[in-house]
Amino acid sequence: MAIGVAFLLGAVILYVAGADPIVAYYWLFHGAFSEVSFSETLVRATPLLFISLGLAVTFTARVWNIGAEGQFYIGATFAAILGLYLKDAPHPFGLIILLLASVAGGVAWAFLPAILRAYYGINEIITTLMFNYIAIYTVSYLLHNPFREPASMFPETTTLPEQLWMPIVIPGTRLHAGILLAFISIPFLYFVLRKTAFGMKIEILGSSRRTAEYAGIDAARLIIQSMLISGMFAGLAGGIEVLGIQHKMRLEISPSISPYGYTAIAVTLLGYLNPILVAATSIFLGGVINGSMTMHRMANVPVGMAGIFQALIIIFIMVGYYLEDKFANKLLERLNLW
Amino acid sequence: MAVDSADFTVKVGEVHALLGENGAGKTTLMKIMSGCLRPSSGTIYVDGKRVEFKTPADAMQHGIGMLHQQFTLIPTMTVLENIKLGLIGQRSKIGNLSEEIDRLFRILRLNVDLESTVDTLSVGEKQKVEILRIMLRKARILIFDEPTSAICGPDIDNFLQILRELSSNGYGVVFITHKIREATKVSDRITVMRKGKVVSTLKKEEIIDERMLLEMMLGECFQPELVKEKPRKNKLPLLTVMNLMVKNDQGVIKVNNASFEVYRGEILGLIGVEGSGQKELVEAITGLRKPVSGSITFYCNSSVKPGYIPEERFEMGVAQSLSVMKNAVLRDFECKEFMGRYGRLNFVRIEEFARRIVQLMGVKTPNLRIPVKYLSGGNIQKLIVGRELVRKSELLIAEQPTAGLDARSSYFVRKMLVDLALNGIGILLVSSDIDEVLEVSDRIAVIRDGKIVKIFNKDEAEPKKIGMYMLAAEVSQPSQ
Repeated sequence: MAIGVAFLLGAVILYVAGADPIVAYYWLFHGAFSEVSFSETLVRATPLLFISLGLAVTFTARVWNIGAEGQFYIGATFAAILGLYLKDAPHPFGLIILLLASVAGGVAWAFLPAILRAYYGINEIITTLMFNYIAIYTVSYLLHNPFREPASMFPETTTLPEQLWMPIVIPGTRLHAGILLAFISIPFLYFVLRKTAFGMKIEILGSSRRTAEYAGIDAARLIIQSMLISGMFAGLAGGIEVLGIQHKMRLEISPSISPYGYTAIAVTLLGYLNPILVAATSIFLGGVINGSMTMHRMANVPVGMAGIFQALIIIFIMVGYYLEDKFANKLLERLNLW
Repeated sequence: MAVDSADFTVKVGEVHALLGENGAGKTTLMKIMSGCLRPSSGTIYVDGKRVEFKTPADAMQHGIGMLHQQFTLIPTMTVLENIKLGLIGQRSKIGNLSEEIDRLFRILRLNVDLESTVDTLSVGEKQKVEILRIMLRKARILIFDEPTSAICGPDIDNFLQILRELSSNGYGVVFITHKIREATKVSDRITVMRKGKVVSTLKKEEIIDERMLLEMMLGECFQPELVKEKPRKNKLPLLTVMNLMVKNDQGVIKVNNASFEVYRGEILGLIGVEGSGQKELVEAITGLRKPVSGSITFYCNSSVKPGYIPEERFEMGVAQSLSVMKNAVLRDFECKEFMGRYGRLNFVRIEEFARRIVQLMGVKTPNLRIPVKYLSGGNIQKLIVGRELVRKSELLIAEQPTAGLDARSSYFVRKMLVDLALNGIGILLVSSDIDEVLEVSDRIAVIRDGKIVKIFNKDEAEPKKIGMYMLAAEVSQPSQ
């Protein structure tokens, strides 16, 4: 329903922008979910999925980590740069070490905002957002200067040797082992959040800090833990993107019209913080990202249009959720549960 | 349906109490009368003329004003500014504002500086300013929604006195309450409501005893009997508080050199005017606030956290978005009993435990998986109280455990407190309800300005004496 409205309004805007909406939508779907492009959709969905799964934990605790983008960049950079020094490491070990390095990068980048929030009550939305700028410009410096591949026209690192790459799962596509890891993470996180005492603590903290303290939970510690978990997943997403797709660090590793770290925030909220729904949403949005790129190339839609279109879909789904929620409340009221 | 074909009349010059349990429809009925809600059917007559209210302002035009439970004053503005704020658009109708204010001050026995800011006023004074604002708007019928729930002890008596004063000045007063004692004390007539229907309207002379009203409220015979006498031989302390000093968030000392014990098998009532340091004292005992100095010693099994029924039910007592089931084990889910392997929760046991509490307390909930926020306030309260009563703790701290509960549940909770004490549990009962404290406590500690000023034994405690210790320091203390 909400998606329908988004498409309808999108069509109007596409028309105004001078494109034929039907043709545009054909390419949108073709680029997203046709046989040839679905593997690319999954490739897009992989980093979104990792980041969103981590954010699902943090957001459940009502800690708002907006810094996944920065944590993603740092994780990616850690893997790419350490990879330059591990050129000769044998196959699985080098790869594993690099993945761990990316996790460490993401965790490190989330650490300071986590401490500031947990012990001093300093707003994590602002600090993590600022940390994104610091991360991206620091990485930019590293790519322009000390670690730039001299032979390249662009600011990027030297391509890593093949034994450090993530193995490809389906030959002929770019689908790499990262997607498998992501799919394993879904039930794992679902279990942690919904079935364990740790998950329950996170839920209680998210409900109210005072309730958490009443229940005997060390709220500060839990805030830090939840923040580090999302840093971990964002960092890992960066590492996997480097080792699975790019094989080097580039500044545009996160697409500029829909940066992974920010899009993942929407994915997490659209997925109701539920790992399983989050997975479905990241695949859907991965499709929308790819499809709108195809739409841009094939149907003469400006690239900015694709960005607007993605934003619209997210907004309409959120509004749809709100209406559903309201409707559900009305229903409950009828049943006299109040 | 909240109110079903109810008839209600109020005359000028009378105090008319509207009595009923929580959810009986009292407030809804009065919201209809004051234009806050519109009825699906039925009519309202004022002075014999049929009227229709679309908004509270319409009702005000006809002289009907309602005072809600929450205050609407702006704390940072002065009394006068707040009064004028209520008059925007009507000032022309009032001849001489200051004369009028003076007159109303006398009726209300209000004695505050018009230029002082509202946040410096006591709760009782704020309430009077609220009343004054409505009276200034030429109301003839004043509806009070549970006005005594915000005040306590002697303030309640003062307030009831003012209701009489208002009626003798020609106002019609509707007094919504669920406390029978207050209703009988002050009213000319009492209307009892149950489940949205008016059970009966009685004149003062027709009321035989409180029991009769209680039965009308509950709709059945009900015997509020409490075990009062009990053997208390062992004098083993369970909790000792010594020279405790606690500051609040603003750094003001709220608990000042407090010392007392809670023994096994006793109920120690702690009573005081709101804001006398009860909150900070309890927070210190429960570990939520670090004391500045002094000591708190427990002599009980340390593996179970002391039972604690907090006053802040919704912000603290439950995790709103979590299920009833999970809330039932909010403070114990990490106990062995509820844990499986790998940090996993044992939901079978948790569900069993939750079902027990729900059945014991009669919590109305469609199922155990629904988020707690969809339950009514009273049911949430029952869930919290049930949880803390059933937990196997040797010490229980109960803050206003019956606030917001209907008569039946209140009696039930009090009875359970007494039963627990009989079984050797020590209970610290923090309440601003003198009757409740007197009814169940073995000893009564009075706190004033953060000091424990007196500890009564049950036999020497009387409401009057307690009230004196609660209030003024200037009252010369008898026999000392």
